Amino acid sequence: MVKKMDEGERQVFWDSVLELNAFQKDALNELGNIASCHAVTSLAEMTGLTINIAVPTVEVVSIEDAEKKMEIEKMVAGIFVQIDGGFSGYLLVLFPERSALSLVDILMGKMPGETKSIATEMEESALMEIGNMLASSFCDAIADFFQFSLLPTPPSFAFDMMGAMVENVMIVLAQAQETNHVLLFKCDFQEETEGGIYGYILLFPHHDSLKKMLSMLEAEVE
Amino acid sequence: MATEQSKSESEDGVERYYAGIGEMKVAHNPHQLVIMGLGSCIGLALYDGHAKVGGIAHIMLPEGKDGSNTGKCCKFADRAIPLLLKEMLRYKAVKERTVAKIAGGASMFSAMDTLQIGDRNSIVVKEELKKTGIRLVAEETGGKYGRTVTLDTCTGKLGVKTKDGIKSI
Repeated sequence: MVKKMDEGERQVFWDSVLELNAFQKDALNELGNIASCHAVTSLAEMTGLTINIAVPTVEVVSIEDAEKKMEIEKMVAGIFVQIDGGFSGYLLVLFPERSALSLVDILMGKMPGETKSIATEMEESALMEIGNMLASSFCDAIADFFQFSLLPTPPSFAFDMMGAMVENVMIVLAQAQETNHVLLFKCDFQEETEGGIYGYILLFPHHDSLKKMLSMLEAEVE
Repeated sequence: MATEQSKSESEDGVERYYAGIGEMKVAHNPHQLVIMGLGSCIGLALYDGHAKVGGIAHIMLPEGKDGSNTGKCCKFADRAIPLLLKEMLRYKAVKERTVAKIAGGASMFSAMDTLQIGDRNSIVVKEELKKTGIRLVAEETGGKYGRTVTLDTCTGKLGVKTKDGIKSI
C-alpha cells in the first residue's frame, strides 16, 4: 500500500509541473507561431510555393494519448533533429507520402508526379535537406526570441509508419527524463492548392528546458 | 483488467483488440490481438496452443525505476511479463504450454543508434522470459523499420507487417 501512495504522489508531481496555466499556454503558442512562420517562410522561398499555416498548438499529452491522436500506420517521410544549446530536445518534421513525393519533384525539377517512390538516396537527401532547413529555421526563430544559441545536430531520415517514428522519439525522451508526459508543439502547414503539400513540425523539449523556457517567458513579460 | 476497455472491430465475427503503449490484451480464439506502429517498443505475444488463448503486451522500456510507474502497467518489460501471464492464466492458459514471440525493438533514426533503446528492450524482454520460464520460439527484432503485429489466436501465428510487406513468424 505504501508503494501505491508513492506512485500517486509522483503522478501529482508530474501533473503539477506540466500543467500549463493560461499565460504559459498563450506564450508557448505565440512562440510556436513565430517559429513555424519563420520555418514555413523559408520553405516557401526554397520551393516557390504558397504555403498556408494553421495556428500551431501546444499541448501536454501523456505518451499513451499522443499515440491515440495520430494515424499510426500512415506512411510519412520523417526528419529527426536533436537540439542542444540554450535549450535541448528533439524536433521531428513529417511529410505524408504523397506530399513527400511532390516535394522531391519540385526540388529536383521534375514533372509533377514523376517521383513514384522514396527508394534511393537522391530522394532521401532532397527530403532531408528540406526537413533540415525547416528544423533550422524553426530553431533560429526560437533562439532569436530568447537570445541564446541553439545547435541542431545533423538530420537523420526515415520513411516509415508515423506511429513508429513518434513513438521512438517519445521513448528516447521518456528514457532520458523518466517522464510519462511530453509537451507537443504541433504545427500543420499546407500548400495553397487543393490536395497540395502538407506537413507537420513536432517539437519535444526536455523537461528542464521547458521549465527554463517558461520562466524566461514570464521574465520577458515582467 | 485491460481487456475490459479494449477497442474492437468486428470482421466476420472475429474481434480485433488493439493494445496501445503500455497496455496488454488477452483473448481466446478466434479473435486477433494487434499492436500498431512498433518502433523501439517491443510487441510481446504469448500463446497457449492447447487452450487457444493469446496475449500481447506493448512494452516501452526495459525496466521502471522505483516509483516511476505512473501510467499503464505494461510499460516496462520486468513488470509486463508476469502481469500478462497472470491475465492469461485467468483465461485458462497453462504456463508450461505457453510460448512467446517478440517483434519490434527497432531504431527508427540513425541519430538514435547510440542509445540502443530498441536493442536493450529486446535483450531485457528475452532475459525476463527466461527468468519466468517461458520459451521464446520466434522473434523479428532490430532493424530500422516500424512494425505492426497481429496475433491470430486460432493458429498462434504472429503476423509482422512492415513497409516492405507482411510476414508470419
